[in-house]
Amino acid sequence: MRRASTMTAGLLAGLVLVVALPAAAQTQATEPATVEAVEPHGRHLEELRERVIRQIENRLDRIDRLQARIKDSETVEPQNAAHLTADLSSSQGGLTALLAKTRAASSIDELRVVFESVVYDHRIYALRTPQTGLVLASDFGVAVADRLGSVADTISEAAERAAEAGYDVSEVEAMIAEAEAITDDALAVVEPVAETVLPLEPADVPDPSRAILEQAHSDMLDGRETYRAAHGTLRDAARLLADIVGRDAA
Amino acid sequence: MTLSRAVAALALVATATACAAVGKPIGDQFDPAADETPREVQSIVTASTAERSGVVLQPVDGEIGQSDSLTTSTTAPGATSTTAPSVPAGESTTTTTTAVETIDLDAVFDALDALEGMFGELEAEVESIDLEEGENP
Repeated sequence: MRRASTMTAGLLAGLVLVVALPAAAQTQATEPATVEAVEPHGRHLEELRERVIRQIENRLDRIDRLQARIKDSETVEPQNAAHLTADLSSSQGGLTALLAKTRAASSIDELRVVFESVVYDHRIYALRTPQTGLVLASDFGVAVADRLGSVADTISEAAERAAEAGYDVSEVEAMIAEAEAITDDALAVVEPVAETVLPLEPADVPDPSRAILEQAHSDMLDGRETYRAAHGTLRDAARLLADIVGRDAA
Repeated sequence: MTLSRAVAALALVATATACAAVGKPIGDQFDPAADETPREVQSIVTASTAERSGVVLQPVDGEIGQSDSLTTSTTAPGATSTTAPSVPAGESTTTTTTAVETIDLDAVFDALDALEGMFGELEAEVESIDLEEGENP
């Protein structure tokens, strides 16, 4: 819907070049021939220039937001943050240079070359945005596993004390072990996501980038569900322990 | 008079004989500082004293989380404890107990609730990823 409205607005504005290029990129086509087919004969240079400038500024804004997300993340691995930040900063510099070129362009052909670079050399939306999101999610998922392990340890210690006091907590211990195994399974899926998507570069779009990003996203969804299962098992273990020692379970 | 002297003399001879047998000079045999009671005997005496005092140890049922799993109650010697059986008279017992330290199950459930919050964040993180955005958002 959003895509359609953007395209319609672009077409109504008559800025065939600027609309056609993102549309081509959106379908992950990489053939510059598409650009040649939509040569905007007779269109006003300044209108096109403004459109290209807006496209660049939007991407710079996106980069700023992505950088802020990385900076605000409390769980991102430092080396992953450095990798993402370096890529985004590189694009930031490149797009800023393209902004200057756009302002200095004296022909539609020059604008076309600039815009191809904006889209194909940086891939802010098709690559850098999901790449950043997946790395942050992956590292956050590792932190979730750590927290689950910590809670499992706490319940385990409580169970040990109960056992020392003469209570039979073997079932609780079995549930804790099960939760730890489930957590390990989830971690094995979630943790590699960051290192899988980090090496992707604009030249990898659409292939193999698309398939890798889709698989990574699917892994994160699976990991999230598996973490939930581990969490549920831990909660059951805590409730059972509370029952055994005669406490009201929360 | 003669009889008293005779008895006193016999007592002196008996004492001297006893002291000679243990190698101590006369007058040292009642040294109050001397403590030759073996430790094993001391512990038995101590246990026996505890038995006689009616002090018994009992587990605190279900009170995990208290600072100690044991409480001490005292009953008069010979009286029947209503909370736990006392050690039968004449028997010694060795009670090995482990103090149950504080277990805060409320903290466990709080941590589990906090994890719910983390799942919410993870969910938001994963669902914010839009692979369909392409290059024309």
